[in-house]
Amino acid sequence: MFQIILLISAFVIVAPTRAHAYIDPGTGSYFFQILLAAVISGAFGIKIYWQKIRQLFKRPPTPEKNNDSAKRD
Amino acid sequence: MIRPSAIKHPSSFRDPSGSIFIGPDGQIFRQINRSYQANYQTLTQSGLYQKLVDQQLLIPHSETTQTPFTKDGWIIIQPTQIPFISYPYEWSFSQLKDAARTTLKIALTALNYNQILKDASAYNIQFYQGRPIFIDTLSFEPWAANNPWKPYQQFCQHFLAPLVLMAKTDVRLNLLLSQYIDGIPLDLASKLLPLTTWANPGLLAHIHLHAQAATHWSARQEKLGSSTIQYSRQRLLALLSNLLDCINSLNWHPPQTTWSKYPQTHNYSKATFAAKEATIRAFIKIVNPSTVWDIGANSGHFSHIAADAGIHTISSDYDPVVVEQNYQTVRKTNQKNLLPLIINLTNPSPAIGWGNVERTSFIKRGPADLVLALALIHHLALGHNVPLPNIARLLSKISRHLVVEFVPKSDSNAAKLLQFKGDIFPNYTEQNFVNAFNQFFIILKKEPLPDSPRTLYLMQRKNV
Repeated sequence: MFQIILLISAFVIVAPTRAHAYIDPGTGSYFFQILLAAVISGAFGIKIYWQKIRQLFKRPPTPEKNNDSAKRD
Repeated sequence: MIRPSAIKHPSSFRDPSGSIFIGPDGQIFRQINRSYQANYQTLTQSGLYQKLVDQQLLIPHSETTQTPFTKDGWIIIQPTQIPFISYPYEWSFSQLKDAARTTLKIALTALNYNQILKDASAYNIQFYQGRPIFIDTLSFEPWAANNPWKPYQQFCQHFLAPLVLMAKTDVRLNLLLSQYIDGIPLDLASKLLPLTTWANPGLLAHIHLHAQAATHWSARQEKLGSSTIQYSRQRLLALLSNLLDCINSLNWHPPQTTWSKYPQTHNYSKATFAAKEATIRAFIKIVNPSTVWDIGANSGHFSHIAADAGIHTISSDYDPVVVEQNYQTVRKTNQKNLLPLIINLTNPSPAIGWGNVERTSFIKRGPADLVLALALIHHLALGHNVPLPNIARLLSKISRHLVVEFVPKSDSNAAKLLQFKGDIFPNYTEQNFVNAFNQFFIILKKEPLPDSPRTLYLMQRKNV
């Protein structure tokens, strides 16, 4: 529910005015993606952080498994 | 040496990085142009190519010494040949879902090698050995910070929109893909989805709000400016992971249909069914085909006879429920020789796209060495009013050999077809069936089934 409110609020705040462009070069989707990625990136970072914590507690200290998506932050 | 008989594939013209060419024996080659040389070398030298091939996500290829076919060419590679080309509008729900997951897995893996997919078209996936595989080796480019993922809208239109529509509205909406060759427009998908999907954060974002933005937002260069775009690797990872979670969460629970209940409702006795299986097995052994098409295959029971014998088999039916069941069996049993597809023989996939040649019609992808037309003829003739000579002609176009089951009007299931129509088919007799097919085929064998009015025929096309 919180995610939905957050999404819609972000969307409404940032929404540009309508314009009837000659062509559609995909700018709507382009800027929407930038907005969306920013909104979900925080939650994603937290999810990866907790995954790391859980992994540390799951097994004895051995070389950490190659968790690709976490490594690259 | 330039081979003059190699022609450019009619679907391969949009990508300046390279093109597909067809050799004199139908072999597929991919020419890589000079403009893509650097990206290709990054793909192979970084280890990404090998990683994806090892995970069976990307089609393997070999580099050839063939001279490029055009002036801007750099090298020619030969990918592993795909035995049968199929298209997203022919795939069942889980086939499309697996194709979407493959695409995203590749995008996520590529990011670990500082590369990214520049396309996310469903036409970049083909089915090979029973599973989806990415075939566009030229779709990789170096990842650069502060750039959004270019094919995001394409992915949503080609994969997410049809999958959500199939799962939440109606499974038959995948057919919209044959009309919308760039994927289902987001605003259309948004309109067709139930309101409950607005309460799902993933669908709200990637379909509904995305649709609003795509339709109504215009460039605001003066406000945001291209130099101030923030788009880190973590944000891209977040987006791709979120899309993957969204896709993974979509499930379709097939309802029961007339055809999914067929194993319980058909009118074969145990003895008849066993005899039918044995006869088909024997006919397949006689023909020894390299390709089999089982049309009207239901959930593929008889297709498996051919597939288990190591023959590449297409198993088609117009009911998406049974095709889905078939694919789930293929996945569970790791069957490498069977490709289930949704094909309506009374309206098979047409040729579509630019010039009406970009995507090949179903019929033109034949002929098969052997076609199985089991428990089918009476539906075409009595259910769909297609005269026997027309059926024979069509089957002769798509098969070099044919196993066809004649079902007379006296059969209890055939009689059901005439229940309300009445018997308006005086010409539907076994003799006329034989006469019609004799125009195009030589009848090699005739096996009446025990305890049944049905007969199996093995035929060979004239002028094979």
